[in-house]
Amino acid sequence: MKNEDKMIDALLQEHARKGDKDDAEFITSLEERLDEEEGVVNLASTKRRSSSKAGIGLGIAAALTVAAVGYYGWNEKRETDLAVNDSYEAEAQKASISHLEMQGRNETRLAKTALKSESKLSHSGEKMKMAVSEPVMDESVASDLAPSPLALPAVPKPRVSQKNVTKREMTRSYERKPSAPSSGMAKEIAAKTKSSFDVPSGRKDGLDFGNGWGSEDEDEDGDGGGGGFGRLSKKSKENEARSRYSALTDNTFKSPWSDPLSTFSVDVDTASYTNVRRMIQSGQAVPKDSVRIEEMINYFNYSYPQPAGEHPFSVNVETASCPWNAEHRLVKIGLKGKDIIREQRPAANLVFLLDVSGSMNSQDKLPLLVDSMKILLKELNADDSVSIVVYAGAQGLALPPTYVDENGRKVILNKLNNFRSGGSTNGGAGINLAYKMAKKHFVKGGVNRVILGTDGDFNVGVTGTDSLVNMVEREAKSGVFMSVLGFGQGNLNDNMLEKITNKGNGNYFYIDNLREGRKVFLDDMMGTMVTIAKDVKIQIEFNPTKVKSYRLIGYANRMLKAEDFKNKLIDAGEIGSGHTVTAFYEVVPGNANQTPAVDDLEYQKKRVVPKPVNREAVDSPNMLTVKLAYKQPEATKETESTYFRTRVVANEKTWQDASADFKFAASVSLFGMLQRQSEHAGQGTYQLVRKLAEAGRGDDPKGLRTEFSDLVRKVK
Amino acid sequence: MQAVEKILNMKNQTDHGMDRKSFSILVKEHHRGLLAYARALTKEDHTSRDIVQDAFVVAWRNLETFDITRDFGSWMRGIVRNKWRESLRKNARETALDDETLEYLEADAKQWDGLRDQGGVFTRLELCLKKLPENLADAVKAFYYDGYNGAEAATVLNVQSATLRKRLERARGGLRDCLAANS
Repeated sequence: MKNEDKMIDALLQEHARKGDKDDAEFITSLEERLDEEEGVVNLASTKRRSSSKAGIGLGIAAALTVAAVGYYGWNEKRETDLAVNDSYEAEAQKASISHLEMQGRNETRLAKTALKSESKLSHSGEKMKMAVSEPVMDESVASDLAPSPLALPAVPKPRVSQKNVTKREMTRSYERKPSAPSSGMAKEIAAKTKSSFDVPSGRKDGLDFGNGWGSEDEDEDGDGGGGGFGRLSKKSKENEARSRYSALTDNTFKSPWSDPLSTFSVDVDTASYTNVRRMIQSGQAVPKDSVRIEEMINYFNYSYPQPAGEHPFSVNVETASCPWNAEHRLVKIGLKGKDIIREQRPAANLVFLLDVSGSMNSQDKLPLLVDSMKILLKELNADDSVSIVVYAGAQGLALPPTYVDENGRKVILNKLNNFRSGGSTNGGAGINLAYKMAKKHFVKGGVNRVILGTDGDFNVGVTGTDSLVNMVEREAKSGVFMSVLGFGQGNLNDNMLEKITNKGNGNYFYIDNLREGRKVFLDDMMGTMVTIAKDVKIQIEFNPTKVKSYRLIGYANRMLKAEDFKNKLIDAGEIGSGHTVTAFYEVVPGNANQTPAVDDLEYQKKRVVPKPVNREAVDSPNMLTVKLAYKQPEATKETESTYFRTRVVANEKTWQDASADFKFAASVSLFGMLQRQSEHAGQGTYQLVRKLAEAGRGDDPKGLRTEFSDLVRKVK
Repeated sequence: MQAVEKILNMKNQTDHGMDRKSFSILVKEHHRGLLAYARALTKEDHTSRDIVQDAFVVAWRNLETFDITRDFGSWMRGIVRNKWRESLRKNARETALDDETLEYLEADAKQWDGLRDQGGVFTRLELCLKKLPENLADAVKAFYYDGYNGAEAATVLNVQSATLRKRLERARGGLRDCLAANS
């Protein structure tokens, strides 16, 4: 394309997107950010007022030095953002004049705030609601990892320039520094353990290099092994090849005679969709095994009714023809967790376990995590407490449990504004410390949760993934749940992160931008934090006279054995307040063949052909029965689950007549199947995906469904 | 100049409490144009929205440094450009545009800012699209609006790929002239 055409080209593309209308979604999300800005600014100005009272006589010279250095860094950064340095901007000079005017004002402000920080440090100890005595929580370790502002004068003060410089930009100034040297020992261990897992970065040939962390858990992940991965990495970029996904084997069609029951654990994770979206948007190939269809479906919210009865969630079943195979029926099973109004939310005891290793040192990782945490912070109040444990070369307590009252909020914000990354990862020790904090500060009947933020370059040392997973599972039994937030690309150990939350009650999100951070922290996490039911299992029994065969779409690594349903000791997923969980069965209607084509057995008696128990039940119009098992969130391992069931009658509805939610969720399912190159996609095409998505868009208040349509366009 | 008056209004606000309302009007007025501009830079839908958002946030924080003798649109495009450069540094695999291209982009964008009194560049574009000869309009429709890629669009229209390219080029030229004639 000719250079002079590039702008009109972009204009046409932009016009194709929204016509001559406003981009409402863009504006809403920007307004939210601006609201947030105002919040931060207000906080900063309150601080400024109090500072002038507090620290008037304190080391003015020192403060000025800090301020000057700080200003230098700040101003340099500000220049790159604001100064318009293109040759054709003739008026740039004028702008720099106004910079000068600013300078005087800012220097005073800087000096004041520097003083404030100093006095604040001295009494931040009082703010700790809990004395911390373990040797492992050595404050000096903690401050090494998250240096206080005065310890590192080259770092401009976020507090000071909050109004002028973004939080992210603050952190950026760390980026050019080499990562901080970690203790020799930790490094050595790291080097040893890492080498067996990491793919050498120069390797592009995509040969079989095993299955990442997954080898011990092959049984869960099917028999795909490393083969699929090797094949994929050939076409994916090197970057993506370093992210690890475990092989998934899709469920196939089964006959209700041989397999009358289909049992699986609910899953409210959404990470797969965000991750796939990121890859498509940046034009990368999507590795097949990164696509977990249930996580894609469950990324979106569906409007199921609130539960009315005794159970904490409602069950909603909708059946219609299958859009990608006219002969088949599609059964949508949707659960909706009871909404708990924010104000009635029980007190939260949150322990953030943050990866501050060198690999987190990029804009889309630690700074994004910190920004997202600030959003959450606004939602918390004086009943809630927040603590922060960091891990890298060594682990340490960066912030002891602190109540989110007025002072606590400032302490936490200050901490967040001063994070930086460096060193190698040793997550194992950090996770111990995090759980210790959570238990020490345990809120009975409240939300007790460890929130792990990492890019998954998680060096668990000699203990291995399995014992880590076991630990998370064990702690969940004692009432401390875990959420995992995945960040960044390239290093993302998707497989292990998902596994941690699969086993332990918890959930896994992937955050790639601030908007996603807001969604996860406010919509998903605030819901997830209030767990309303745990060990939620779904079991479907099919009526063999109505169903020839069936197939569960997605949930490939969430399948349970039929007997697990009744086994109270077997773990399953949790549902949070307001969450929806959706699953699809693709059903071939008709009479199931009673004699499966198997050769006669030589060494045992021919299996007795199963017979219907009750003619009446079989002859009923019921197509299937949905059975649910769950426990109350505070239940122990020994508590018996609660069971209930819903029967579903066959109908003749076509998908065109189905609800918008049905169409949209079917669209996402088909999209996932196509991305996974599923043999079951039938007549499904990306055109059909788009058609379904358009038909199922509904109100789409957050624009997520529209975004999905855009994404599909991109793939096609 | 409208923008200047609005900024002046903001200056009258007390302390840091600059008028959000006025700023929101500016956002409303400029966001689509800036999104198109960012798209020309990034060639990517999602990134361009992120960049423009970030740019507005930076602008809001630094509103006091905005030189009122200058045009809000070019000020914003300067910030967008810097945000874009930043994103280039992050993803080392993308390549920057040369200065000449940037000048073309700025020239067009600046000119189109002038269409604000006539309902904005997007509304004008719709009128201009209607004036295109049929074969060019079809090419534009298939390629830009129906979401076909080059090869698909050529198949749909039953022409050679080269023919399609030529038609698109002529259509873009025509649209540019049409927009220029109005501003």
